[in-house]
Amino acid sequence: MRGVYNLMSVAGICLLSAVCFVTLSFVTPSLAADPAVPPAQEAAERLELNAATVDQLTALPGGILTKEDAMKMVTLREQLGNFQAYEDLKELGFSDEKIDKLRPLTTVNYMATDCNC
Amino acid sequence: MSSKVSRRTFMKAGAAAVGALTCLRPLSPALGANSATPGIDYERVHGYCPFCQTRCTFTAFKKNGKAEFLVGKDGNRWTAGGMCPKGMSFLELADSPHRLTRPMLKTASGWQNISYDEAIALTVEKLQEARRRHGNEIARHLALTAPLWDCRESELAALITMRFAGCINIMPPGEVCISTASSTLNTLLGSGNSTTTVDEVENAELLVLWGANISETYPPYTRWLEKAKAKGVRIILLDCRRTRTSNFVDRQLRIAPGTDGALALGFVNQIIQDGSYDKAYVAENTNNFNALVKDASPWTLAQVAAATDLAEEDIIRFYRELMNSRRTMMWLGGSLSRYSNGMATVRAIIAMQVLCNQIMGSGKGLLTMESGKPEGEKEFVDHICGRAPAGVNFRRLRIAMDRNEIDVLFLNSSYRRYPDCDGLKETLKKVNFVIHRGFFKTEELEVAHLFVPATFTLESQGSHYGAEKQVVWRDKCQNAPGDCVPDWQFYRDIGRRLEPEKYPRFETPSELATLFSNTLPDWKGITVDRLRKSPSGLVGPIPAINGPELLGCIFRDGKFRTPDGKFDFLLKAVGPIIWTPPKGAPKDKDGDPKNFPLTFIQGKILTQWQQTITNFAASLAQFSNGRYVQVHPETASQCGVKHGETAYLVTAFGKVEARIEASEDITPGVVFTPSHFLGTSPYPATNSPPINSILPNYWDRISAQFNGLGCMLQPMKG
Repeated sequence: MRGVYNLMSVAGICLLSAVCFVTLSFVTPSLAADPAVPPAQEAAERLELNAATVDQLTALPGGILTKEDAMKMVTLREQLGNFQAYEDLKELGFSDEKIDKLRPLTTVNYMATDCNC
Repeated sequence: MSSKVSRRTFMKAGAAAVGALTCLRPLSPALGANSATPGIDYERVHGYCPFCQTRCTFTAFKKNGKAEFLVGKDGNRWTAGGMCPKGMSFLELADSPHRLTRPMLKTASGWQNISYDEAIALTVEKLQEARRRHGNEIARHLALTAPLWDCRESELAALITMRFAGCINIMPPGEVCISTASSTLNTLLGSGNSTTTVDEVENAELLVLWGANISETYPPYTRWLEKAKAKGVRIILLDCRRTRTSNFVDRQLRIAPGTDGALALGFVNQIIQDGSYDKAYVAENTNNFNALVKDASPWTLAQVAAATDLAEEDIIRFYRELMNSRRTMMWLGGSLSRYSNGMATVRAIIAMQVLCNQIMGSGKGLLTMESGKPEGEKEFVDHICGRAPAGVNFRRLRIAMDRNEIDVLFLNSSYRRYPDCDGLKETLKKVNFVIHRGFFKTEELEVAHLFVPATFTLESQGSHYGAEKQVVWRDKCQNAPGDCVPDWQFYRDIGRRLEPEKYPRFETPSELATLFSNTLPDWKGITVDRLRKSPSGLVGPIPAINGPELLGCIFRDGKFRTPDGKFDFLLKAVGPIIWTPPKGAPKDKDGDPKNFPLTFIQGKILTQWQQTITNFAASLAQFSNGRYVQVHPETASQCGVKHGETAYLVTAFGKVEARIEASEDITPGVVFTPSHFLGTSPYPATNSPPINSILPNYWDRISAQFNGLGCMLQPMKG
């Protein structure tokens, strides 16, 4: 009987742990997420990469971008006309990890070339 | 300045006379568009000119299988039968001794004639080869530079074929023209072309021609300036040059080139500061007004004067006229898009009109210099081929070519239209296989591997569109010589071999046009039969069979065509409106005022179109006399050059020879040269290296920069 009780206690503890884990995952997602990735901001608050200045890019939280990174981004943006996707940043040698850190803090919107002639 | 009438001046006067007569009435009034000359039996064939967006319609008088003369359709409400010398030149161009009429393949021993079937087979083979090599990555390795298509059906056939080939990289011609304006208008207003039709100028109080040289670039539209003046409309022109257009305006502000955005922001700042803008309208119909307040705040009267070289009293007077006008229309010249600050300029001018509630309603709005493309092409191609992602812009394409990543390029337009065209030529040589469609021996043959000759407007059926969003129709008037084929046939024949089961079945443009109209709801009322009966064309959209055309302001419900119906002063994808001088201008941070103190501008002239076709017309060459630069006599003197002599026009990137034409028709410190010359013209009068060979590869977000760079004039001797 005591063994059964012990077994039930262990099962109960496991079940309770699982419930807590799942609950915490929904309530505070950052705890389950990679701590290296900043929390997502509302889209309207995010920095648009096609409009950002060097200073704005450098000021992104977490020190994701150095001033040199930011200057290279602005130069590349001028060469390309605009960024069409985050993948454009790979031209600068940015890693997937670095780009993933930028995603929740930024947006990429661009004006397509329109021609009516 | 000499009081003698130089040969050039005489020829210019002659051209002006011809142009004026042509624009204002048919050359042969006795014939008219519909009258018959007794004793002469001609077949009349509908036609249109494919050059500028005026899209003049004409009747071709045909005899013995050939057009003998063209007469503008006087029933055309937009042109009243006017045509300019360029459109008339098709009669000569079609029979030009310089015309190439056989496909040619470049071999180790030079160009060899091949048959049309061989050209098609080779093109298909190259595309299939690329597909085998790259599989699902094919899109990155194919591209097409779009021309100003000769007809809509040619564009549709080409887009469908390219899509089936796996190509999504279609370079619009507007990237070297006025896409900045159309892209900005489309993003901010929800429509990329004029917000109203040109006839509304008669209902305005004030018409501002903002760099819009109407009489030279849209010659038959000169009548609209006359009609507006007859109704008491005040017309102000903003241009550093006195041109034919100057004769039709009440006042001209000779603003420094590329500084229009500063003038516009100054007005915005003025009316915000004094509260004279339409507060209620702005509150109800716009977003992010505070962003505009911030953007305009640096632009005091002194700052505007310093940037524009205009006197403060002239600026104040201009602003007062704008503020006092109850109905203002602004005509955006194509040149505004051809500076690296073009987007800031266009945004500022649009903001002016919005602040004053001058976009919607009769006698108000924005006119542009581009075609009113009635839309539907993308939807139609997606319907046939399935949806596809967006392709790259030209700058990305150039990078890909430099990296040897492009297997097949359809070079349908002149590479000389791009800045740094000599550098681009070297880049094009890295493409595996270049197919060029054209008419004459031009510099494009230096980079092409296959040449397939095209047809002129008289030689094919088809439809097109004009500045008023009107769709016009032409019937085939005469056969093309040799193996010249229209684009719709060329691309159809390729597409049929690539996807025989999927490619739309059509034998003529009218069949494709009918398929299109039956597919797109807004085109149901634009039928070929109805188009044939309309000398003006039909203004779309027309969703109902026999439905009415809708002229005037496009915003019929009082709302912008944006997701929330409002105008947003904040363009998130671009950021604030920050105006700076054009890149490389003497006043720009990248400029070199010591060595290149003058400001360079180029543009079209009445008798020539772009950088190709019209250069090969002897009838038009007689109005040219080789490359010249127009410069103020004081500036010429400061540079040590004299009127009539040949000198060098120099930028930091190269130089060309040009004859000096000293004139007070241009402001001091500015140099103008026509843009049309090419180095392979058989006529010395139109033969000169392409001007874009001395311009750097500068762009704004959307379009290339051709104006505003620092330059210098140097004597050839000493």
